[in-house]
Amino acid sequence: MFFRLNPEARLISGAKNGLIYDFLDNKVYELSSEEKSVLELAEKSKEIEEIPQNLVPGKSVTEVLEKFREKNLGEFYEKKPYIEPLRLKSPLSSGAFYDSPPQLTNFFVELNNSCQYNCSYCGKNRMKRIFGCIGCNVWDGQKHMEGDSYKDVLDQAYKLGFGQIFLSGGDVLKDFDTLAAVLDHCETLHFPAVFLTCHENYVDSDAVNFLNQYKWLNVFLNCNFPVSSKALKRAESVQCNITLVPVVDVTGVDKEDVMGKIQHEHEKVQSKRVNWQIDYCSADFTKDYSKIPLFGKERAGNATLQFFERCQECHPCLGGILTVSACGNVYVCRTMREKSLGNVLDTNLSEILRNKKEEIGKSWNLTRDKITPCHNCEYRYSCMDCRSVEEDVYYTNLCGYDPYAGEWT
Amino acid sequence: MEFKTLSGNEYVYLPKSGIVYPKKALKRFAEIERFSKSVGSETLNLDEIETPEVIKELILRSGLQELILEVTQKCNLRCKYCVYSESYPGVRGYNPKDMDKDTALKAIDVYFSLLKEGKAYNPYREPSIAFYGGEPLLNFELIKTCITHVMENYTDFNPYFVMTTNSTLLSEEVVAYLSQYNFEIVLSIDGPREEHDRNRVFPGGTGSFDTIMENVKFLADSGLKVYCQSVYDLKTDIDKVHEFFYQEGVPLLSGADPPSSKIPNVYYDKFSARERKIYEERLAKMLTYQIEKVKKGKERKREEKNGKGRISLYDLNLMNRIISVLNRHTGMYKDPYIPYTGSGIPGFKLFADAFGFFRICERTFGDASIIGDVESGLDYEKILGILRALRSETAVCESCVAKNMCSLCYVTFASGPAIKRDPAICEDVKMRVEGTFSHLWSIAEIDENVLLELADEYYTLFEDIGKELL
Repeated sequence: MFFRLNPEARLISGAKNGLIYDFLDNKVYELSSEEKSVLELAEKSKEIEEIPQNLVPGKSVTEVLEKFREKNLGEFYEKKPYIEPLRLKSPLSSGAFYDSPPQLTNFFVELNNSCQYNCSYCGKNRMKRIFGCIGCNVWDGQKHMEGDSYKDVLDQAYKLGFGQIFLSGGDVLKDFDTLAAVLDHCETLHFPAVFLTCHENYVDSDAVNFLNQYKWLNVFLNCNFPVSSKALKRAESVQCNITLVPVVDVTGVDKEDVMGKIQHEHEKVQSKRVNWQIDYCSADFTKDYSKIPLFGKERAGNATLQFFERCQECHPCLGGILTVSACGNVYVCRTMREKSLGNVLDTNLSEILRNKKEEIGKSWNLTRDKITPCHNCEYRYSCMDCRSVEEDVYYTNLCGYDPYAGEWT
Repeated sequence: MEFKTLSGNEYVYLPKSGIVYPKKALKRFAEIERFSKSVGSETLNLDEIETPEVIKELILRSGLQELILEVTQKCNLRCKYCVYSESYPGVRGYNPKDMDKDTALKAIDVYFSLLKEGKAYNPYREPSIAFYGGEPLLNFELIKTCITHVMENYTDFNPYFVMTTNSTLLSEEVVAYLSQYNFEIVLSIDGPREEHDRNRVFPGGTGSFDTIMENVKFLADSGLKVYCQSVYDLKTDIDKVHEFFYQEGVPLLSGADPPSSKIPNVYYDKFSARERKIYEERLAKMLTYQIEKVKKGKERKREEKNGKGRISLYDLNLMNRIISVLNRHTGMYKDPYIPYTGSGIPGFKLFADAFGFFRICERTFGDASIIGDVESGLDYEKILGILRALRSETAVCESCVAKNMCSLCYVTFASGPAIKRDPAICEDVKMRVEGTFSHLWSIAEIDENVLLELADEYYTLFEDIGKELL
């Protein structure tokens, strides 16, 4: 007798425990170390009678497996079956027989590098921030490109096939004419989605009127925490698809205290016509990460097959992305800018992609199977971690799960 | 679609989601339906495309993978299954036409002009130029002229050169020249002498086997990548062909196809019922071989290692079946322009015929396959028209069991005056789907990793010659 999981149920083993990803329901089932060991053998088509009974003290192997059959995740067979895993993409390399173009996703463009404020979480202050990529930031000593250069860069991004455009600054609302030209150009090019990051400090009534001309736009409104009634009112008056992004500084604060405040703020926003995405910053995440749900179980929340397959190919945050800074420098991640790949004022994006294919590939082809200890973690294909907050891109320090102990802290 | 394996296990293939379930495990109908909807693709309404520029951009991004120049339509052989022979009355017939220099250079210039423009869309693509015929070496001077033109005028590219030849005109001098440009050579050899010479003959009827095997020796130490394509028909002793391509000194077999049955022909009329029956028995023997090979397990892997990746007809057949099943596209990864069949966007590769017309590929003949010419370049309006016609012809595919894995291409659809689907060929495809699933699942029940392993082996062996396999 054999037991096999169904095509939609995928066993992923960690160092200690395991998970079953159920792609029909987009759920995961946590497995104890014993259950994982039994299922591993069953999935290798070991006959049930040959699975050592001592793996599951106090129960029979069949009892353990029956539990999964009852959940409709697997079935018993008299003869060894072949179970082909459910897939969306072919398991074979898509570019094996021809020079396929790069599979590009998100394109970040910084429209300027100026701001009269000095928020503690700004990029120039080097404070680490989880959603820095969709935040407004200024960086040290950079000038910005002229309007036509932005149009040219967007044309290049369009031709390369980028799907989503993320526009940010500095203060993107500083110059309505330049911003209008950029947004109009984005509309002409029919990008599937365009996002604009603003800060509450700059969203006055003129800005609201301006943004309301672009109802197709997705706006991230960075704001201080706690959220002021003024910021909330402004957000509500913007008729675009708006997401309020309050930045919570967790440096040295008590976990219960900060979570209580976030809950309170969330309740304030819940009834409003705005989306909500908390961002977190810290002067030292190594001390503070355990306070943040995104470093805890919340990070392992995406159990769709599409996300699973993406995580097998690349890091979901880094694969196929590119950033052009206000001065034209090109990076992969907007917040990992140690070394520029080139500058669009003297080399076009296509040439940069061609010339720096190997270098870019290190980021684009980074999967958690190459990151320690993620490669031993059963959540590695459902996790939404951020590499830029880590000291070492190949090593994860900031995570609430220990795959060797099989425990969340 | 239900199918059974040799072990007696029963399975169900669900074409909509692409999932194969053991029949016993198929219970979550509502969830499967919801999943299929959630990952479903949006098929583009081609009638809403206002400008053919959209098509141009598609080609600049993913097309232009190869320029194939028909440097001559002349051939010094008279292969009995050739589509230009009397076996295919609807096709043009033998032609003494050579491509002229002006046409060839213009075709090259069009190709490189598009590649230059296309760099903004696909920074990784490199040019590939294939010389094709007829027998291309009958116009060797033109090949040399083309190469000189490319090397002198397009220095910022790294071109890849390919030639498909019947090998009768290969010489030491020719091979020395081709070696300078690191050519890939695709030879036509059908198998051992008795098989090869049954069809591949000189005009007088003499077989070409001895000539080509003598000439192949020139290639042995050339360092060039050399592959074989073979043709088998209902009389072929495929067992002998399989043994032949296992031999040392015979170039690696990269493709084996029957003579085209997708174009109206009289070639297949000559085979008797007995010959057809013997052929079916040989095919059954091939399937048994494939199963036995997988049963060998570790021993097989050891043999493959020792054999330096040597594969032959039966192995190739299995690999091709595996790839057709593993590559089935469902949901969001379907091509929104061509949701069904194995056809791609015309312009994926460019075939410039001897008269200067660009066609969809080297195997399409009818007016329906013309997509431009060397004077005015690609006709994107025409390509859009082809896509619309194909969409209309394949509307019925939605309910076909083979809709995610059909390999029918323009050879079937574009070999006449208009884009046309042949329902009889579709029936043949449908029938084969069940057999393929049953065979592959029988094999995978023996070794569940073997499908992916053999597919990987295929891609490793042929990574250099991919474009010819498309």
